Amino acid sequence: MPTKISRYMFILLFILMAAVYLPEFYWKIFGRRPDYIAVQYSPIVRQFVIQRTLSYMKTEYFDLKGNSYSQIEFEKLLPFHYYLDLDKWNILPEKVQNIPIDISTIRKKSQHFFQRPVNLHDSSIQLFPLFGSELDFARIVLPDEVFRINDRMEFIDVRKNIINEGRTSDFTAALKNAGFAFPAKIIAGNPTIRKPFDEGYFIVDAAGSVFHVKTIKNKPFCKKTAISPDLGIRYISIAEDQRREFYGYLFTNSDEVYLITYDNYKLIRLPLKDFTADEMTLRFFADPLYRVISYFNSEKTYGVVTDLKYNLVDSCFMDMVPFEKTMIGRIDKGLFPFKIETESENSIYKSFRLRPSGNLGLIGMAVSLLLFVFIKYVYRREKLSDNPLDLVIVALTGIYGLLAVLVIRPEIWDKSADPFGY
Amino acid sequence: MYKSLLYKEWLKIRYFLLGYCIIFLFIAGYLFLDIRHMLTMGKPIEIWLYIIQYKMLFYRIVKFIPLLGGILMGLTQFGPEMTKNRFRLSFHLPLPEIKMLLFTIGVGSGVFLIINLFFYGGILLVVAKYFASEIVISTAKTILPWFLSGMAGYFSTAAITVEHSWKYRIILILVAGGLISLMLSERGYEEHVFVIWQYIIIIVMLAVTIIFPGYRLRKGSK
Repeated sequence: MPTKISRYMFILLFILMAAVYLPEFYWKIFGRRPDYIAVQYSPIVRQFVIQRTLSYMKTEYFDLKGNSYSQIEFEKLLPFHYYLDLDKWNILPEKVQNIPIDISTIRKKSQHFFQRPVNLHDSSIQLFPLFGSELDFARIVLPDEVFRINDRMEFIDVRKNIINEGRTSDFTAALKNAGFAFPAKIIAGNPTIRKPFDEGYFIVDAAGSVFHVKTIKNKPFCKKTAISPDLGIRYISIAEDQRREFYGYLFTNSDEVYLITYDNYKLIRLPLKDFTADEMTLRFFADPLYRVISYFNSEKTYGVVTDLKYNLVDSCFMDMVPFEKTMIGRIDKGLFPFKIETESENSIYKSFRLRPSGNLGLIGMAVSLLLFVFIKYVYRREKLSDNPLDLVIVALTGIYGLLAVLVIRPEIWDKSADPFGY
Repeated sequence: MYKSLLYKEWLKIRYFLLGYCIIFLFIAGYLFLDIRHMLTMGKPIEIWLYIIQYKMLFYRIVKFIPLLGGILMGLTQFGPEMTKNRFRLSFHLPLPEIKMLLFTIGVGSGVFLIINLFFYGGILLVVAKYFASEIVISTAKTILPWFLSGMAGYFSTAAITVEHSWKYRIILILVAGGLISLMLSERGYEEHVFVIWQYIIIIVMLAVTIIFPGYRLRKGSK
């Protein structure tokens, strides 16, 4: 009995390995880059214009009315994106929609950010540097401490790996005065010195309230914001920008996206329909006239454009053909009844995610089973009663099980296969 | 009976164990000096932020040592037995071969596990000397799969060595190699935290797999 179990363990390990690697090899051989679509909004023709890079590296430019453009024509439609090219060709318009523009205005009034699902599923050591705001010098300098927030806000002097009690009690007291409930749930900041100025951190406390914490001239600044604790904040991203329109953005548990503005932390909800933060990449682009937001996954691309007050102006939607729906993707599904995914584009964490192939996979399973019956009972002339579990394994796991039980053949079991048979 | 078997195992693995301990002391010492050097030559805050934000695995030198140790341990234990088919001699002992095999890998894996626990703790102590608890915990989570790969490497090497047909050896190498490389693939820290239990199950399955080659060896199956 144990020897039989041992063989089945070996077979299961084989199946596990095969279900991880065989689909991967298939993908390595036949996989193609999906079409890439970038949705932009032209202030010249006042409609969405689209750039599509096909899998064979040819790029198409077109709009939703069916006009197609050359690359130069396309760039002319988007002066806020391609102003450097247009300026080089001396065709940068002096006015767009009656607003005078030049390179420096465009630069001053533009801002963009890019948010990928993997940002939400990323590991992070919860230690943060607190920079100084409103310093005497122009450059931001690195402090010698990092902080953590458990039952107090602790500053660790990294030179000696000890706690700086003075700063710890200052900041803990300041947080308590502002009504902070320890510990922190989310600490979000932009911990880099490559930014024009420092806005510190936005911290969600145990009760769900959001606090703005920074240090101004070496003194703690802690302010409870008016952001509702009932919002269900899931993720905050902060990025300082010279425009000083918003500190950053936040995602809620119900996949709503808000900007946190400088106007007393008032939130602006972005008008995004069918956005799922766990699967979709979000691209935000502010130019002197519009806010253009696009979000997409491998199947769908959405475009949304708003005016400067974030009122919806126009929106668009485009379907794409994902790998699963191509011929090669269908063969893949028929061949492999399921896959085990250990890695994902949308998360840095490893997993053993079972991905069944659906109805197409049943075809492959039936073929495997027929092949197995033919080889075992017709070709090798084995008895039906020998190792019946093999049959079940092939029926359940298709090609993986077929390979496993044909390669790892059963022995002629005898009674001494029992370890305690002596 | 078991006492004599235990003594036989000890004779085989003692030099390996000594060598493994020396290598690990050397690695731990090197890591200690490396961190100290890093923090002396650079600004400590830059190093800390590099570790936290850019996910520098400053303890990467440890990565393949447990796996290498596991493979060598398996070879030192089963290599001498398998040359000239000596292992078949022990089939004349009044002890079923499966029980004996399980005893042998039980002793081997037990000793290897205990030594690795010490090394695991040692590495974390070195890290804790210079870094905050958050970084130590992150290190513990990141290097755990590396140590698990050592156990997996040991059990698979044992099975591969006991197996005498090249066909099965190659299959075992492919299966074990594929599964072990899952435990060793990462770009940053803590990527394996959700699959530790799955790895442990795989290791137990790899351990049980040795019974099959053992049985085949005694039966003389091709």
